Amino acid sequence: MVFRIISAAALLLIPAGALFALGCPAKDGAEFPGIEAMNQQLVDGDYAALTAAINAGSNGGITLDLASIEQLFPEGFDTCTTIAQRYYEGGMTQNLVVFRSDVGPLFVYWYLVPVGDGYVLHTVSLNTDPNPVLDHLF
Amino acid sequence: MTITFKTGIVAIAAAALGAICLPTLSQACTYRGGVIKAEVEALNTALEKGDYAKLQETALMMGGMDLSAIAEQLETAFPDGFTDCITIEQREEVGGMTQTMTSFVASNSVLYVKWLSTLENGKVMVITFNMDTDASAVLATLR
Repeated sequence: MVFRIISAAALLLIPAGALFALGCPAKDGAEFPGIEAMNQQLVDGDYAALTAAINAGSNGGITLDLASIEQLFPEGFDTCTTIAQRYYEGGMTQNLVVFRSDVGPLFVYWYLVPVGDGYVLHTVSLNTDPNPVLDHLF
Repeated sequence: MTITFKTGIVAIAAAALGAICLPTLSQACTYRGGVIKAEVEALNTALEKGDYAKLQETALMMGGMDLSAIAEQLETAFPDGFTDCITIEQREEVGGMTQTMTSFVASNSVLYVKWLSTLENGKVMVITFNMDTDASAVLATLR
């Protein structure tokens, strides 16, 4: 957590786009700190934290085993980019993110549903093939 | 005649992308409105000319896609390329992801092509595509 605070502060001093200090919010889109924190955990290769965050963010509804992803990308990723965001009136949001590394790309789909004052993670999908991830978009 | 091309993805070839030589023409396929992406047009230009070696080379540079199997099928089905192409649909999202659907006219058939491109650190990457002589099959892949 200390690392993230330092990174976020450093971002203010660095031109936009020069550093993915905290996740990778969509350019000209809505920003969801919870999603961006999970994007950053994936970039960092912090799979234990990511697994816990997904479980907490979904109110315990989603328990993922990320062992296969961790095996393929043990060091995490160099960059991430939110390549598409569909934000609806009412707050329902779909984000599509690509993570790049020397090993290859990983595509991730996040679907958030507003509940009360916050959001609940309804669906998450990760795949090295973009097509099954794209298929989630509606 | 229906020719279906499977989408080709190489997950482990995205590194070491070189510079992309863009076509001198700013617009290869007619499109009424919308923003023309020169990188996507480079793919369209190679396809229209029937220059399938160039098509493979460009796709590899723009996102690591391996089009070699597709190129063989294209060479057989459309050895002379196409006489015209028209971009009939483009969907651009917040974040920059763009789906472009283009029809390529040949003497005996029409090939429909969808390119799905992203914008990553200012660079256009093509991450997936679909080709079919049946428009419905390609339309079904639009997201």
